[in-house]
Amino acid sequence: MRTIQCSTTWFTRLVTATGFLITLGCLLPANAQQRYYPLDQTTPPGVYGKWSGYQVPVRPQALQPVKIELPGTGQVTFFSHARSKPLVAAAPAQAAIALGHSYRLQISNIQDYPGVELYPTIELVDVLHPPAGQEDQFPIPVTITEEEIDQALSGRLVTKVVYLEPAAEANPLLLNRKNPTLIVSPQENVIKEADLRGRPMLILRLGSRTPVINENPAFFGNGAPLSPTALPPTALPRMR
Amino acid sequence: MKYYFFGLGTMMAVCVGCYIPSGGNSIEKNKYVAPPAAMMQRPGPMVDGPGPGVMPMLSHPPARSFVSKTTQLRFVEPKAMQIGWRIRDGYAESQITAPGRYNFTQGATYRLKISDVPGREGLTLYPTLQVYPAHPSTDAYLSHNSIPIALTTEDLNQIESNNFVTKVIYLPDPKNQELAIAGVETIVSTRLDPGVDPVAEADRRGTVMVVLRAGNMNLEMPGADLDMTGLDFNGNIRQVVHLDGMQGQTAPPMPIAESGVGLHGVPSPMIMGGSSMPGQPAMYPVAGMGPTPSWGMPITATPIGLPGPPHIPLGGPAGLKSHTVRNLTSVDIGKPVDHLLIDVEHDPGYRLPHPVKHIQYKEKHPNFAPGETTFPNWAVPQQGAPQY
Repeated sequence: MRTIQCSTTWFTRLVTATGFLITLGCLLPANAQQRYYPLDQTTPPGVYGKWSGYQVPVRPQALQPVKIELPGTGQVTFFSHARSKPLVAAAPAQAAIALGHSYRLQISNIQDYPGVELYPTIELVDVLHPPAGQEDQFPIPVTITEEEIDQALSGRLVTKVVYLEPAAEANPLLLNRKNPTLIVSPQENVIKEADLRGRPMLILRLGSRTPVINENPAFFGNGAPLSPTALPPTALPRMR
Repeated sequence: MKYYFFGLGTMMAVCVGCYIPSGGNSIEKNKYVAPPAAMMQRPGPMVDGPGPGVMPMLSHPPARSFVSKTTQLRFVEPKAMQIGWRIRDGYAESQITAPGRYNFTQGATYRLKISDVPGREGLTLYPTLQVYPAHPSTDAYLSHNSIPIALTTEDLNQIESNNFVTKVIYLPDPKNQELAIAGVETIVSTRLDPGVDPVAEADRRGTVMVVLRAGNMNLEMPGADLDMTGLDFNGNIRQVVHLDGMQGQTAPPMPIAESGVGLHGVPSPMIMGGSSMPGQPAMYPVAGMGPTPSWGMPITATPIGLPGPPHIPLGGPAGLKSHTVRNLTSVDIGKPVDHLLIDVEHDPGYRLPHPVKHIQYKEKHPNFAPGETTFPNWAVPQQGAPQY
């Protein structure tokens, strides 16, 4: 009787432990399952925008304002096509661009960078949904820093993803600095990191290539819609 | 009790052991692997065009913006160096002064002419510049960046010492990048161990974009270069042209060879054979094809009308009644293949998320009391403005 009891205990423990391990083993892959991110910073420009066009209905008449900010003063030129007239404005400059398209910019007359001209591109992959009639008041801010300009001038490619943080997880306090930036290593997927933290809106790519005498007209874009907008009212000093 | 631990260990190995990440050629558990970038650009077979029933793309932007059909090269050092290149009937000299830039069409090899190198009087180099086609992994970089090319003092010393210098400029794979921001790296053959192919080494580390090969051969000596003999492809005399960029005479470079034209990663149909135009397939390289005679076929006639050697002695009466040629070569080339099996394998393989079959949608509505609304920094409402 005692032996049977021990046997029963041994058997019960083994069955219990086995059941636990089987349950644990079945749950392991489900818990460790991660979202799949086929796009990353090495994806050719335009692919993300095209895929966004499949997800979000293309509305050619609805353009998204984008505001380009430079370190200090400067000039921003928006290109749509090599043969179309570009939009030229002083920084911070704002223009409305279309979802899914890529645009070539020129930033020049940058404060503390005499004679430097850079030609970054911006690719719009999502749009904001501001109140009707106030679209110009809610542009996507794109800030180009001195560090990024230095990196581009040294021959490197800076890929920057601007994302919109979810309202429920946003910092409830006003920040003392603009657009906090997180730098990830090249082994990580910058689009994935942005998607984990919010909704990717725009991709900025900044390098050192400049147009030369035999430049291909495609360098300046493929004729995507481009429209000037008014700058939003100047922000007041921070409150609260 | 020992049976208890034995049984427990066995069950643990059975249940958990299969979830230990495995190395080697298999895909790690819980890790998705996408197909190569070149395959990701197209919707796929039976979906992509041309043909009816393909995906409607007219209302969507193109898949690749700013397609980099040219690679912008920036000649950095030595400063004040003059860079020219081969044109159709000679050389266009001094087209660029270092530091300077130029856009070279991809998928071609160019012959450069480098002269007026500071501190090296009389040195003229004729390196070749091989510009690789853009790869999906380098497309973003090439459409935003120029590629720096510098001939260092060590490179010039090696060249003048009758050494052959190969400089390979490549974009390292993310796993091989040391810095946080993507940038190019250069491999120089003179810094590698003997026998190590710099192009293969660069290809192992990333994607090759430009290869510069330089030696001290003078290509403008009489007879030094077959292309500089003054004869065109038809054998006619032509006039050698020299343009000087210092006098405003410019001309685009002429490729001396082309490669990679067509599909990505598929080499051009260049196989061994006779000479041909640059970038064109070899001229009738296969025996029996075109004007190339079949292998072993004599080209003279015999007195009895069969191909073979001429009759000896010449001028005598025809007495040959038999002419036999026996091929005694041992031949073992196998039988024709009736069923061919080709196994292909991507390493690592693909693993994509399975189709969604259950969606849970939950909305969370934040409630704000008056005065609790936060605004982005630039959108703080003015004093007295209505609160949203």
